[in-house]
Amino acid sequence: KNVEDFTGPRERSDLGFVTFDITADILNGKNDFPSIFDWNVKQLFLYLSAEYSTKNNALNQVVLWDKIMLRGDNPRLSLKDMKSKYFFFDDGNGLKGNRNITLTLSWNVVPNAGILPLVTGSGHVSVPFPDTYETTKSY
Amino acid sequence: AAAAAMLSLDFLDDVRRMNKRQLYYQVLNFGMIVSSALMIWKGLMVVTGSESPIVVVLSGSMEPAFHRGDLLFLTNRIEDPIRVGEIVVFRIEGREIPIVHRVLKIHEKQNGDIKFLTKGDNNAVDDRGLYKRGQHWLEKKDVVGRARGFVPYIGIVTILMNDYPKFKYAVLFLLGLFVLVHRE
Repeated sequence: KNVEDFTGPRERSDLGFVTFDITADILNGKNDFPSIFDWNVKQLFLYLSAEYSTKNNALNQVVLWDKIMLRGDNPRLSLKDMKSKYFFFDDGNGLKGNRNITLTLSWNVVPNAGILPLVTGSGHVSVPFPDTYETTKSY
Repeated sequence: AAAAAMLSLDFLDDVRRMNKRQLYYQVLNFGMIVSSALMIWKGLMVVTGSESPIVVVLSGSMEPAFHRGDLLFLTNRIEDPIRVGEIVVFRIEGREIPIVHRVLKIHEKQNGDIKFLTKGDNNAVDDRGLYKRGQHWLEKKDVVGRARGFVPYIGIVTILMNDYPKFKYAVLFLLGLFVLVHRE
């Protein structure tokens, strides 16, 4: 859709709607894999981000969804038909017809004390946006 | 009262026993300790590229990752691009207190100009409401540094000294006393 976004001289920007499933098995110490939740890991901050290029900006990254997973929480993620938590606004009108939006799952390891690494998952998905705006009101 | 009086007399005797030279020596010693500390701090600023390489978390907006009193270690190297998911410490124009939040959105141009939006993990909405009136994005110039590591609890001392000035004066007074009177 193309809607008012109040953030600049241009009055309207593209607003994208993405529905997604996430299935992930955070390493949990079973099957001989060491657990990512070792003695010094307090939590994982997981986030799904969309990365794409437009005429206006060479690189755009938007976080669509995030979750805090504490040590002890169920390490298996099985989310279906999720809607994005945050508005997927572009800085301009670069989503329409954009063939290559790459979705990646990443996480920030928060220790009890020490370094704060940012890790990007190895899997990623590319989705294209349609060439026309949606005219019906649905979300 | 008698015991206290004796204690203060002993202490004064110690000071009187030091002649002028020893007193100057102690003062120079003290000066050296302060200079070394300042040099280490400046060195940290150079290595990390940040004007404030170590900051104390002041609010609960990044819980449960960081709590009030946690100490954060920052770097601010220009070569490190700002990307979503990173924890940045930034200052809003005209405000003194830096804020520690996570990058939610970035739009970067070919030439490297970048504008980005932040949000505290523990906040329901993004930070746009916190920015200056009419400001919708943060830029590189607003960034004090990126959080690379942290240590919990230790910064509480700084917060206590800020909130209770008497505590700060007591700590400084005791430190100064210790250094001046210490024989070695």
